[in-house]
Amino acid sequence: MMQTENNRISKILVVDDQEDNIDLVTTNLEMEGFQLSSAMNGREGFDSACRLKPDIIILDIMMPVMDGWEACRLLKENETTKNIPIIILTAKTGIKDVINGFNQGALDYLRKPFHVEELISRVKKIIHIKEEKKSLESVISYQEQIIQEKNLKFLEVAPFEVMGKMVGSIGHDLSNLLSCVKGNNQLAGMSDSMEEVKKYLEAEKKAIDMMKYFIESLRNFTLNKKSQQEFFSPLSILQNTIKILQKTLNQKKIQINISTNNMCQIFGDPGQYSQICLNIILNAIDAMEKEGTLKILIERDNHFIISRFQDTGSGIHPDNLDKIFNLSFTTKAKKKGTGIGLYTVNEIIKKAKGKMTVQSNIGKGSIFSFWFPTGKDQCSSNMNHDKYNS
Amino acid sequence: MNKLNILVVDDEEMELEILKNYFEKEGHSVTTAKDGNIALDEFNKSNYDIIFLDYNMPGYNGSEVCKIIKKSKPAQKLIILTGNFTDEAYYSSIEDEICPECLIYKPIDLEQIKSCMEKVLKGIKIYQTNN
Repeated sequence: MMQTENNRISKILVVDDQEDNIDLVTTNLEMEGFQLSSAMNGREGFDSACRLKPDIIILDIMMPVMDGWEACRLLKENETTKNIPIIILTAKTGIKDVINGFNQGALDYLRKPFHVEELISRVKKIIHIKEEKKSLESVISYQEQIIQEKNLKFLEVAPFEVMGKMVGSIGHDLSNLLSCVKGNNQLAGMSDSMEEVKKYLEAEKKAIDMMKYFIESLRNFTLNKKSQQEFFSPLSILQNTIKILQKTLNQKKIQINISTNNMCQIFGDPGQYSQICLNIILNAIDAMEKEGTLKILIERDNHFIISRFQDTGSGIHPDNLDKIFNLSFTTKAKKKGTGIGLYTVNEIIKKAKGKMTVQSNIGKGSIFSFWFPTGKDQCSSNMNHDKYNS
Repeated sequence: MNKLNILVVDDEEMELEILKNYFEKEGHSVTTAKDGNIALDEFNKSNYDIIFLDYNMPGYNGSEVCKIIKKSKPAQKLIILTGNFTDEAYYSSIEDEICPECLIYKPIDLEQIKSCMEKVLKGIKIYQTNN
C-alpha cells in the first residue's frame, strides 16, 4: 500500500476520455498501492477533484466537453484544488504545449506514448516531495508558535526591568531619608541639653515628613494599577512620574521643561500613559550622561494628544534608528539594560491605538514623540483644561 | 581618639549636617563640601585625616573624586557612602587599583560610621559594609 506519513493511502484521480488509458494507468498504480478514481472529461474531472481532494491528478488534454487546459485552469483557480499537483499526460508533444502545461500550473508533463514505470516513478516522487513539504510546514508552524510564546514571555518580563530601575531609584531615595531619620535620632540620644535634643528631633521629623510625601507620590503612581479607563490629565500624570525621578534628575543635573498647547483630558488608561512617559524619560536620562535638558511638549492634534520628549543626549546612530523598537536591541552597556524598554513602550502604544516616532541627531539628541488617543471626544468641552508652563 | 581633621562631601544638606554634627560632637574638626569640585578645592587647601564621599552627586560622582584625590595623594584615607541599589557604585569604586578604603551602604548608622572610620585609620581596608 502506498501510504502517506499519516498512514493514509494516497489518492490519485485519472482524467482521460480513453478507457484503455484509464485502465492502463489505474491497474498499474493500484498495484503500487494507490487508491484510484477516474473521470472521462475535464468537467467531470474538475467535479471529482473538488469532491475527492486527491493527492495527485493525472490529466489528459484532448477531451470532449471540457479539455485539459480548461480543467487545469479551473483546478488552479479553485481554493480546494489549487494545491493538488497535476501531471499532464497527453499525446500533444510539441514544446509549446509542454511549456503551456507548466505555465497553466501543472507540476509535470508526460508525453504519450509513455512508459508505465516512468509514470509510477514520477507519481511516487511527487508524493514524496508533498510529504516533505508538509513536514517542513509543520516544523515552521511549530517554530512560529515557539517564537510567539517567547515574545509573550518577554512582554511579561519587560515590566520587571522598569520595576527594577524604579526599585533602585526609590530605594536610593528612601535610604537617604532613612539615614537622616536614624542619624538625627542617634544625635538626639547623644545630646546633653534639652535644646539640642529638640533640634535633632525637629530635623528627624522633617526627614519623616519627606518620606511621607515621597510615599504619597508613589501611591499616586499608577505603575501597578490594573488597567482601567478613566478621564485623566496627561500633564498631571507626567508631573507625578517626574516627581518620582526627581532625585535622579537632580543628581545628573538634568533640567526638565514642560510646555503645553491646546490641551485636553484623555479618556483612557492613565497607567499606560505613565508607563510610556516613565520609559522614555528613563531612556533620556541614560542618553544624557551628565547634565542636559529634557524638553517636553504636550499638545493636541485632533483626536490625539502628542507628547514630545526632546533630550540633549548622545543621539542614536542612523543605522540603529529602525532597530530601537526591536526586542532586545540596546545601545546601553551590558549592566544598564536589556533593550526591552522601547519595545515595551511601542507595544503599549500599539495597544492604546496610538503611534510613536523618533528623530535623532548624533551628538545633539533625540526626539521621541508619541500619539495617545484622547478617547471619547473630550476636547471641545475641556479645551485648555490644563494651563501649565515652566 | 585624637582630634581629627575630616572632610565630608555630600549634596544632601540634611546628611551633611548630621555627619558634621556627629563628628563635631566627637570632638573632631569638620569641613563640608556640597559637590566634587568644592571637595577638590578643599582637599588642595588642607590636609585631612579622612574624607567621606557620597557616591551620587551632581558633577563628579564619589568614585571619580576618589580617583582624582588618590592619584595626587595615594595615602589619603577615604570612605565612600552610597545609597545605590545597583552594583554600579561597587564596581566603579572598588574594582580598580585606585579605590577607597571602605564603601558603606546607606542608610547610614553613626555607630557603623565610627567603627569603620576607626578601622580605616588603623590601616585596614573594608570593601563592603552592609551593616
